[in-house]
Amino acid sequence: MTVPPMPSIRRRLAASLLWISLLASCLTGLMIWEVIGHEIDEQMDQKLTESAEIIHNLLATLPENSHIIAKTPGDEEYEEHLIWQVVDTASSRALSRSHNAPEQALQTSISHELTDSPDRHWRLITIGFKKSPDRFLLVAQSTKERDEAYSAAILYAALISLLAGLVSVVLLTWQIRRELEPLARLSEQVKSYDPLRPETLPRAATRAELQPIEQAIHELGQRLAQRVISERAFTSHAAHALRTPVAGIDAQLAIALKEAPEALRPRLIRARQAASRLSRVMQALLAMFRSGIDPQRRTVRVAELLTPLTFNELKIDISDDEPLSADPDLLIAALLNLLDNAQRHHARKIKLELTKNAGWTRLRLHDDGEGCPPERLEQLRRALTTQDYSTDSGLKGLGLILADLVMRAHGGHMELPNVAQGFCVDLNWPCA
Amino acid sequence: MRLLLLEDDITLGEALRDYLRSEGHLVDWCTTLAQARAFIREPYDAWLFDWNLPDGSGVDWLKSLRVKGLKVPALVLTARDLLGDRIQGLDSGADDFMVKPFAPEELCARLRAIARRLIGSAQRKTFGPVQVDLTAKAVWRDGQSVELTAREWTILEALVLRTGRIVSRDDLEALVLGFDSELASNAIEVHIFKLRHKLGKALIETVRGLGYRMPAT
Repeated sequence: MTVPPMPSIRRRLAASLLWISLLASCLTGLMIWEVIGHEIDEQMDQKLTESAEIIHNLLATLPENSHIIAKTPGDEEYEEHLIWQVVDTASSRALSRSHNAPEQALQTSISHELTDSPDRHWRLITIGFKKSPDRFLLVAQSTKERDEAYSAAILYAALISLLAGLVSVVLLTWQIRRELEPLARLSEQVKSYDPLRPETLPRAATRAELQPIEQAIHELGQRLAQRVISERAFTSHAAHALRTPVAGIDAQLAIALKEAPEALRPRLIRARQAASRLSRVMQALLAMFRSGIDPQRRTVRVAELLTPLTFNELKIDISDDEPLSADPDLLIAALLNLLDNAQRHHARKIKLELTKNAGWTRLRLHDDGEGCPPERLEQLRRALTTQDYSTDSGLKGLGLILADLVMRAHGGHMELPNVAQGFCVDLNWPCA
Repeated sequence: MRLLLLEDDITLGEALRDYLRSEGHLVDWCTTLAQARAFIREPYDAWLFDWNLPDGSGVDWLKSLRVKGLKVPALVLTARDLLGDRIQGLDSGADDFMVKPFAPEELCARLRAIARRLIGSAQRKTFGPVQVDLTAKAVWRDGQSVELTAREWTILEALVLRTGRIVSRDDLEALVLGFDSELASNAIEVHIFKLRHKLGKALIETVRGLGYRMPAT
């Protein structure tokens, strides 16, 4: 089962910061448009006014009837952003003008304020002549120049803002990585934390935000350790309290079988078989309690594990009996219950096949018993996948549950493959 | 074999004692360390100790016995099943370790293994014309099977298990009867006489003033 990748805090923060930078640059542009744009207008108007005053003073010195069309020396294509006209109010004509100024007056009367031309291409200022009241000077500034000034101011401000944002993203990503390093160290320490060994308690909190996490891990570890200690104590006492009486019952039945008259022997044999099954169930339960504890791996062979066990009518065929690494106590408990299952489902023969591939051990148990209908097999698979060990899940005996727990304790899993005949269980776990 | 069984659980202890006796062993059963201490110097062929006893640890006591130089084969019977327990039990001087519950048949098989270790690995032990199979509890003279009574077999087994060593008359009495039985004063001599009659005079030597000995082959 694969876990979908979780979103990364660092990437999420970097992405957020990038969007914030883009937004900030847009807002900066708008702010420039609104605030700096007004300042630019004032500056440009002041420049226009001062230019008009200079031109006015120059033109005032000329004779009244002079007509000038100014030329730009050497560059006919020179683009004027500032033009002037001396307008005759009677004829509305431009008597004198700068070389790019239109022949027609841009404005026919004096106004006391700066205005825009009707086509809004020019910003206009008019100044009258004291000696010639029927004339006035009109100086016009191209609005295109203003727009260029606006655009340049907005563009550079937005670019600087964006650049600052991008630099911030890089710097903050680097800083976030540094700030998250203690979290990574804490994770590493939690991996090797054994609640029963206080010296392994994580002590990596170098940031105030990590202290509550470390404290929570500490408290969780204490609760876990208490539970493990209680379970171990229970298992130990339960082992002694159960194993000895069960051994006593079996031994009493064994001697009773020897001493009993022939007529009683069948009953005593059945009683001893029941006691033997009780013994297996008890050992399975004790092993199940222990399956939560780290397995004590050793190199063993399946045949050696099964040698002391007796399954009266079940023929066990072991192929490829290579050495394998497993907790012998847990594995024997799992095998014992699976073999017991096979026997109870009328298997006469069971084949144990061991294979190793890509660092994994697979032990397949395939019996020739009555098997399992496909829908029930599917139900069992679902229950094992979700670890639903309740009686409603379809798991009725301890065998499959115990084998599943033992495999999980070894870092492996159990599978129930489809087979043409009988029942098949695959125990899979890492070789080391 | 003469066995000292140290088991505090009455149901189990009683059943094991009876089962082992039914298999031809002589069993002295104690339920506490205090009882067992009184009999530990008896000539047992094997000790069967429970680990947890009301007045102490059977394994710790076994360790102290090994320190004192007592080398009787010991089998620990316990409810402890962890790997560490088995290692601790064997390191304390146990020759074998059985986790409860176990079948009494398996316990007998382990005792036969101990007996084989005592006399060597051969299934049949040969003493001139006589062959003894302790596992099958059978004896042959010149290839012909010989029938022995239970007590004759017990004496023969005790001497075979101590081949080459002198076994005193008192030890033989203890081996044959256990500590809670009574025996006629000349019973041992009578059984030795019958054994010599059935298996040949040379089989069992009398060491005057000391006891009897099965000569090493």
